[in-house]
Amino acid sequence: MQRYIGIRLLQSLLALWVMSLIVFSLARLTGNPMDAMLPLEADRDEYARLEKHWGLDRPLHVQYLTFLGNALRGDFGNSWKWQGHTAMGLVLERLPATLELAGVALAISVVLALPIGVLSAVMKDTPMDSFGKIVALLGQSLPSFWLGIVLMWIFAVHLGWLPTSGRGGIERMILPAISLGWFQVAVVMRLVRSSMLDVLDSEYVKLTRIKGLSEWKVVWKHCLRNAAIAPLTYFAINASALVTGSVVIESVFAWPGTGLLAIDAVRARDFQVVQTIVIVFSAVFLAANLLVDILYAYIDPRIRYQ
Amino acid sequence: MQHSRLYKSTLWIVVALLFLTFAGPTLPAQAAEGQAKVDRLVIGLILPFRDYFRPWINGTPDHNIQHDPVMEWLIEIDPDTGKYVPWLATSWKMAPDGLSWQVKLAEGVQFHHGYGEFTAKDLVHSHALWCDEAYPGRTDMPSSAYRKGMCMVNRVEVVNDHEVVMHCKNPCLDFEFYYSEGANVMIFSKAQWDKEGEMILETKPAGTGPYLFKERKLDQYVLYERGPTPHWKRGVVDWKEVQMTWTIEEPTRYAQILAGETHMTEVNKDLVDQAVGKGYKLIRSRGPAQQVQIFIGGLYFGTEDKETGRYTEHGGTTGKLDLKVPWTKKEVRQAMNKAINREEILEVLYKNRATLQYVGGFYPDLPGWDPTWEQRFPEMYGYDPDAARELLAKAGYPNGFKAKAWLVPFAGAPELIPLVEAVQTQLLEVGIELELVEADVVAGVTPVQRERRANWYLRAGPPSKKAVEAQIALFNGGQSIVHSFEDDTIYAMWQELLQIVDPVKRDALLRKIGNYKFENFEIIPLFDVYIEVLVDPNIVADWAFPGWDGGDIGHVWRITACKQEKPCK
Repeated sequence: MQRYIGIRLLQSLLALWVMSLIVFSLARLTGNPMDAMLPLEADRDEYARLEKHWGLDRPLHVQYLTFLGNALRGDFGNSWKWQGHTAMGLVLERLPATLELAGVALAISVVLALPIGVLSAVMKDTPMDSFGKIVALLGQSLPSFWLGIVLMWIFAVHLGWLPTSGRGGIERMILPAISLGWFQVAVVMRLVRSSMLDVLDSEYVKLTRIKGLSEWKVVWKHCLRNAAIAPLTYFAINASALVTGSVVIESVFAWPGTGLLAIDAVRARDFQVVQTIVIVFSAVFLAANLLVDILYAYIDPRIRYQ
Repeated sequence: MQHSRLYKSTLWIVVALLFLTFAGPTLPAQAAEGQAKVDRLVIGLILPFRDYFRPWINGTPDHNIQHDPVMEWLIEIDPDTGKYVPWLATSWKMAPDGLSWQVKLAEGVQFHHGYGEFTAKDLVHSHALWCDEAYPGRTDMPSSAYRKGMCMVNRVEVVNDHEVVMHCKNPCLDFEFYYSEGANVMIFSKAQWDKEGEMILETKPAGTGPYLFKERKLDQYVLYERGPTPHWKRGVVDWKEVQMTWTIEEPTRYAQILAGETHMTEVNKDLVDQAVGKGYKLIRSRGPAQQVQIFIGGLYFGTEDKETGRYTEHGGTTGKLDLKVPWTKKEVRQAMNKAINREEILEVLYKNRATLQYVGGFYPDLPGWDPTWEQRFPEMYGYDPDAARELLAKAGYPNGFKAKAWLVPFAGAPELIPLVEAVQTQLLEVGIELELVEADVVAGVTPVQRERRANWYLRAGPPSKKAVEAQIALFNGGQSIVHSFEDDTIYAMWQELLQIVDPVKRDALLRKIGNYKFENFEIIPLFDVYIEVLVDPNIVADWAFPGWDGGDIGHVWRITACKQEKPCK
């Protein structure tokens, strides 16, 4: 087991290093940050001065090695766009907002998806099942940004029940969280439904019914537990996807999280911040996958490295 | 029976809730007479440009909007006349040789937070922040597109506390522009700098403006509060607080003003019209602030630098003039202009809320203007597809030719995309096929322009209003990365201009340069446009701003509150 965890950890670190190389290279393919930061009126002298000041006149491999060396010490450099702030400092400052939004979106997706998925499976081919299928269809076909704008229009502009955008009290979280979590509701619901359908036909479930257990216990205590493996796997990936995939929703709702930070950093060609965000996001993904793999190994002893 | 009572009670509650919900928008609270209806004016803007206060770091005049409530400049651009008028400088006079300006400073102006009176030492300090590369206490190099112009003043001589002489390296007739709010030299307190250091400017900058900087939340907003005492020049401004917020998504910005979360915002013209139909108000800059035009790439007629005999300051490029490009011929450029139906574009895209542009960088209220352009324009540039085809045939392109045009989104000017598409359609009618290329300005366009490789490309752009000299330097003088129409004649005229002291002669030479550009069809000039802001007339009465306060919008102290019960239409 320890060997398994050790190998998985090394693989994760390797993947993280490759990500750093990819993001470093790709960022520089998107153009010179001087062209983003300096206005058109700037002349060549200004370009040369600033390039030298920011170290962009050095060879690429030197820039990368400098970046890597500093990153291993926890220094991801200073932001070029947000003067006076370190890149990691900005990401850590914005991360709570994203975690908050992702957490609420996740909670909404679980609270809605679980009962709909279970009932849809139990009442297969009934109006309840049809309702579940419609939820799934809408959830997976409606673009989240469109949904966000429509929700904003209805609930903020016309009804005036909720604010349009920004971060503040819980009322500001509702619309972006629903927009963000809506797709997950559909996916989780479908996973739960299909897993439950498999489990409901099992022999041991028939046995529980023969034993005289209430239908409620059969479904929620025995079937759901066994049907939870697939949704659990997706849950971990889902959680990290919500954290990293909130870019669009944060832009629509002006939610000051890491997604909006990423968009602004890309627009400004702030390589330091872009690199830091991608590496942090990669680490989150890798950590989530590692956790799931370790959980699997505990649950199923057959999963090991020889 | 109980069920029936419960049902009826529930029904009444639901009806009451529905009534409250759909009863209509809540009316704003009525203000006490002579007061604004809200304490905090919220302005919904698109981009912060910079998320810090120190203007010399990657400086851009677009950043000025954030400084406008707090800081002041030597010279103001009057919104109503477009002229330079006194501000922290009460008068200024150029020496006969054009190499210095005697400037008298306002007296009794106090800095915020008790940092004393504004005097000559503060001007010396503010100038040095930009022009002294080794200024003690400043950690970052100063950088701004206008730095060369601002630092043409190479020495500030202090005569007394309220009088200085600003000495220039070369004749600096455009001093007024570079020390106005159109550029970056806002006045900082030397006393604060000496006492607190540089970083205090990010939390508690001491300016002399009517508002104090209160708080910044990165990427979200900046908050200002009214000064505790009446302002030395503006008196008591209307708002207790002013908040600038940033939202890049247009539907969200629009939703914010409709929901009452902002009181003024910028949206595209179609949404403006829709909002005006709902009762909102459109306020425009008092004068045109930008020129929408099509740049013609590849007009690199200037002599390149060889080993010696460098003609331009930044000669020597990797780009080459490519004579295979059809529009290197003047007749072709004229044909392209005559193929454009400007009136149609003006009506459809700009809702007739712009005026015709004649020459790039020239405005009626700036030096160098030639009133004959208006009369000559229809014959030389006016829409005439038949004449366009004749010109093309004469130039050797009877069947037209193929070329490309960049489609580059521009925050705040969404009309540029459909504009290029309209131009594509109109040019096709005379046989010119444009391939539209979506491009990112940083990755795709700027490097190509910088290296003079834009030979086959057209590009639409809205350069902002600035001093005419700055326009020529930028687009024709080879002084920056944007290379529009350049040739040895313009280079020579530009060099001559730099040495001219007499304002009358300078005006004449600027006119000569303008005519040269006009007669050589430098660009496809389209429109002089105004900056448009959508406001809630229940809250805001008016806003007088010239449109070229550096960041296009400024004069925040001229945003007046609606103090009457009815909306201020």
